[in-house]
Amino acid sequence: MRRFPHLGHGIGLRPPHYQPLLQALRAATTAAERPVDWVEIISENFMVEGGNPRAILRQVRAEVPVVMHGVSLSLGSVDPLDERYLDALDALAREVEPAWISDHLCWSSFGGHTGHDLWPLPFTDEALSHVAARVQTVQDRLRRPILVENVSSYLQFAHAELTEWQFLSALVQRTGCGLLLDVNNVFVSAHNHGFAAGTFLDGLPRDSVGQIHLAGHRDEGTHLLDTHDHPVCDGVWELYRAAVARFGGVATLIERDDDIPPLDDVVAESRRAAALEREVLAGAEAWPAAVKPSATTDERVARDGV
Amino acid sequence: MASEARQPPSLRALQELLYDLMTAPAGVTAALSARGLPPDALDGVIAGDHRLSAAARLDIYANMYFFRILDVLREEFPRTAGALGTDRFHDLITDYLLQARPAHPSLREAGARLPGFLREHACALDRPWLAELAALERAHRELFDGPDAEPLTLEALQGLTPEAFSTLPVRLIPAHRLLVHPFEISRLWEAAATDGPPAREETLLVWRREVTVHHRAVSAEESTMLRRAAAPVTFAELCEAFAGARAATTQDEAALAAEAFQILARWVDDGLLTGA
Repeated sequence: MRRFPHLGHGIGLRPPHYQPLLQALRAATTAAERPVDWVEIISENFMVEGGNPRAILRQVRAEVPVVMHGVSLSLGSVDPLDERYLDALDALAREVEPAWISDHLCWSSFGGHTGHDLWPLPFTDEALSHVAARVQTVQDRLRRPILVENVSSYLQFAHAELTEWQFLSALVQRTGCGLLLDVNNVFVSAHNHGFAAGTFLDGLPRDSVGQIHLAGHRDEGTHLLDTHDHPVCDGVWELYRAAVARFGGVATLIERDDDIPPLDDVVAESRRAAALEREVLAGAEAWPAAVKPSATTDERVARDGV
Repeated sequence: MASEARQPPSLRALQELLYDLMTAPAGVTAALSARGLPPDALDGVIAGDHRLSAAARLDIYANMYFFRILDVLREEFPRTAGALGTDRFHDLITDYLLQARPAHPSLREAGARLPGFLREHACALDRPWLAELAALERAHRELFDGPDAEPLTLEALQGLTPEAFSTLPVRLIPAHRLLVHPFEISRLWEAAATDGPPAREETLLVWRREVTVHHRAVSAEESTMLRRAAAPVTFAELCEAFAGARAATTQDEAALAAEAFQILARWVDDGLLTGA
């Protein structure tokens, strides 16, 4: 049974789109005319006392569902969880009543200092126990299961005992959390570490994914860099197709954080995602060859009728 | 390090090592060298390959740490950065991050200590006004999403009897600051300059009206009234504060009252007052 509702297709709420998005939402007379079905906010950007961000958020929330996506929970840090941060997150959640709250599988702080980045964890049993305990604490505190997102990474640890997908699957099993599957991050990490992106998808529990992120990245020659400053590339669209085939219809979001284009361009990508999802769910597509899953998955797909 | 390479580090030891290396000012290889370690010292910890060594992979994070914060601070302090120039601002932030490492979950707070840091920094020794300019830019940032308050409107005040008006308790909205600068910073704000503003003390009122942050220079009398209005006060008391500030000069009462009311009318027009 799906625990996180399929909200449809959304975009990240970013300052250049505040006014055009509100205008478009208010001008729509039917749900189909809306540019987006829902929006995602970066929680920290709205954990402020007042002013324009909070005013816009109240207005947008009156029009569509909102989900809260954080970048500073630092689930993997050995520092204690930041109680003041959790208080502020909880207070914002009480006001926004988000469909869900998410953050990343990473650490971003040490020794009381924060790096404002999503640093990768070693996929070890020690790290798994540590993160699972903290996810549990956060879920108890927020009185709901959270979604945990896979990050793009540029390094792997020599002493890893698990793959990333094994780590995430075990985290779901131990804590009951859901996953925010960032398809672009899978694509970037697969390239950077030389694993098959389809194997990553194949390794996640089918009912664990509550949301999908789609975004752009940059090719730096030696590696792909997760920049969110480009449109979604063809390879990521193909991988999204595979994700829909595996996980079914899942609330999907276009993330754009830099070189932000006009609202219409981002909405066009969101509509492309919706059309692709419809196409896959209608059974028009089998697994694309580029991300063809393992035989095990083929068997599972046949068994589950996806 | 050699023993760390043979035996997997604990999560704590790993994070301590990586945090130190990623936040080192001159990159990972230089940080390893400073510890007396060769560039391949991380090979037992991080899996490198033919495309990128272990140190080069960690360097990606080191660069992102610095440049993400640099970009945010350049956006928050555009005039300070412009006055310093690209290289000197880069060097300033390098030093700043060593002494004022970010400790708040929000990037919004990363620049909170920059004006104070700049006051003591070598790059501002010959330009002491830089720290004042940075303080004004920081005030704009803080007030942008500072607390909301319902401002008093002229329409609401016009409905009051003269007595109710003069005894109505009011105060300044919370989204305001009163900054006293030893230089005329407001001149510098409008026209970017590198030779600095006149060394004349200036009091600036910074406040948010609806969603936009403004600032303007205020007179000594208005400054006295503003300080008084930081706590609940009546219009009559504000007029008295104005008259007190003018005590040294000879002026008739009616003229003083008219001038004080002119200031108060502007405050209402600017959305500066709220009910106490």
